[in-house]
Amino acid sequence: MFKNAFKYVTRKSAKSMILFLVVVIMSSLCLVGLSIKDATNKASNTSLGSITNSFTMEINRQVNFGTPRGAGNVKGKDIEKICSSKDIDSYVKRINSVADLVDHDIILTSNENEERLTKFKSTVMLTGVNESKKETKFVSGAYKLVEGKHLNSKDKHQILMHKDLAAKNHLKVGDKLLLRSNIYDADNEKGADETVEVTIKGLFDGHNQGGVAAAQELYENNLITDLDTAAKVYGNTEKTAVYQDATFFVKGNKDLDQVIKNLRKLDINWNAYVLVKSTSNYPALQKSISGLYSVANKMFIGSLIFAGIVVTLLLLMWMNARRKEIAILMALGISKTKIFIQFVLELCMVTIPAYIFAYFIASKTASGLGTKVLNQVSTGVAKQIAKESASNQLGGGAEVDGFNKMLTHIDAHVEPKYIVYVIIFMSIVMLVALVVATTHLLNKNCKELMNEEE
Amino acid sequence: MSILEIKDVTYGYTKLEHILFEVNQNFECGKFYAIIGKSGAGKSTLLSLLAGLDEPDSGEILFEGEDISKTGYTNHRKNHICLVFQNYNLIDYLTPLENVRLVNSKASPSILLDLGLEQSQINRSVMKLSGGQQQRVAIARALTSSAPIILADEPTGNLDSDTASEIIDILKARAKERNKCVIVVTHSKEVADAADVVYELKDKKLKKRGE
Repeated sequence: MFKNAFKYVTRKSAKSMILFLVVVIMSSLCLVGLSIKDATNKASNTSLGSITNSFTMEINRQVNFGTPRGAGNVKGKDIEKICSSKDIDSYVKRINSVADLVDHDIILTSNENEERLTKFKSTVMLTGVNESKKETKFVSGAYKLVEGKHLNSKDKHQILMHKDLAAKNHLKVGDKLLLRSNIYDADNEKGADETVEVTIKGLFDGHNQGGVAAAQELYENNLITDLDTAAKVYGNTEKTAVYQDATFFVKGNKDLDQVIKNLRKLDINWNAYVLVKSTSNYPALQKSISGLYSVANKMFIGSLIFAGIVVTLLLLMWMNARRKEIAILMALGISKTKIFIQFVLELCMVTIPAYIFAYFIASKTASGLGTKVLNQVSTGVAKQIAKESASNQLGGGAEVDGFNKMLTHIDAHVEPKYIVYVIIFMSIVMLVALVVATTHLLNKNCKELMNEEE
Repeated sequence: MSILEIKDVTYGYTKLEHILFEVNQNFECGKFYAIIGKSGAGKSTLLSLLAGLDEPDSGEILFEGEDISKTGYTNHRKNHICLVFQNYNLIDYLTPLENVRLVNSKASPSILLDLGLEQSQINRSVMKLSGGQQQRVAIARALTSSAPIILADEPTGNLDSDTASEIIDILKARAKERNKCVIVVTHSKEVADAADVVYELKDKKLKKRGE
């Protein structure tokens, strides 16, 4: 059987080569599909893991209008209650406040009016956080630390400043400057007139994607501070301050939906808050990830189906041409099982080298194809988001951190384990194709086959 | 002693119309049998039944006294008989020697040389051989088989008379050397004349010629 199978494969070289090429192409696509899927998994799990396993506590704007300026007024004690849950790994809480730079200038826009300039000429926005690395703007890529270090929970009176603002004021990492409360700020309800000396711990970069109404909306005029600094300019402490919102990171092995469901049992006035999964703040990212999954799945499953159909048709055609051979072998007393095993061996002799060849082809092309697919998906998602934004008048919404963030790179490479998956799936497809192509012949007896041949 | 026996075999393509009816006959080792009859008389059908390619509606085909339907048709075809067809029925992607070795993996190339093939021909594609040469390969395959019975259906039907005569002589001589029972279905008078025993299929019965 083995010898005859080998002779068939080598002497019917045109047929073997056609089958070989079909299996090589389809297996390569399967392998590339798997590697893109895995690369997407890694990209979303490792670099973007903090997004997929986190949620944000925000005010429920339907019933809670927030601070006079419209910022969040999440209570610190409610944040503490959630933090104490065993399912929460870490968190970042934010205080939004306003302060003036003392003896330094902000970056102005061209549409400032006199009244604003009188009250807010050197006013900057402060975002107080306990851990700046996990702050949404940094996670989303809107801000990027370019010098110095991130703020951590132990820092006090430290800030991260935009590099352009630092350059305008000839400031660098390590320099000190004064921040003073702004008495015109509606959220400075206590009328605090505090001055805080802060040290620049790092510089960041990043620019607004769209237009702004006031200078304070510019990324350049935003200071990332520790919590104490942001609270103090309103005459508060970390404990008495109201928070814009807080993002909680769930432990790795926990189901996010289940955790959120459990937290709703805590003694918190849930009417005042909403819990939003972080992924919902990243529509483009979600679309690009799901787009990549979709392409990868289509590539993998489509290749299997296409291979199945093509190989079945080829085998049907070729097996029909071999009905005389089957009849002769039966007439010589060779059992149907042995005849079928010979066909299986023939398939193995063609497909095994094809799998190996496909592995090398996919290894060479996966990275390039992965990047092409990513670019294609990103272009499609960008168009879709732009269309949706336009129709929903989301010009301002597009400024939301991470709104336009997408996967920018995937490292698609073929791992040896994928070839095992492809061999298993392809072999099943090949076997099914062979069974389909031979059943109607092997179910007949020798005489029927001979009569059909005649 | 008979090696193959037909016992009360009846066969029809429909239930009402029989082509063979209660046929009885014995075949012995070392003899060359010819079965003749008009077209449509059922000669090839009878050969199919003897080969275990088909089964009778009633009656038995016995090999050394055992019913082949009980010992298994595949077993019968593999171990008891070897077929030679009018259209040679060789496997096209195998060489003459490889075709012969389908039934006996240790078969020597000498059998092909004895049957008139040249050394250069035994390892080339069978499709490059003439009809007569292909039939020699088919006969070599039957002779090298360990099966004691050779069943041949019009083995010279596609050959010219000189080649046909030569092929029959070879088949008869080599089979006798190996004490094989050869049963040939034929229209050919020459083949029938060369046979030790001639049976005629007539009126659904198999009778010795002249009976």
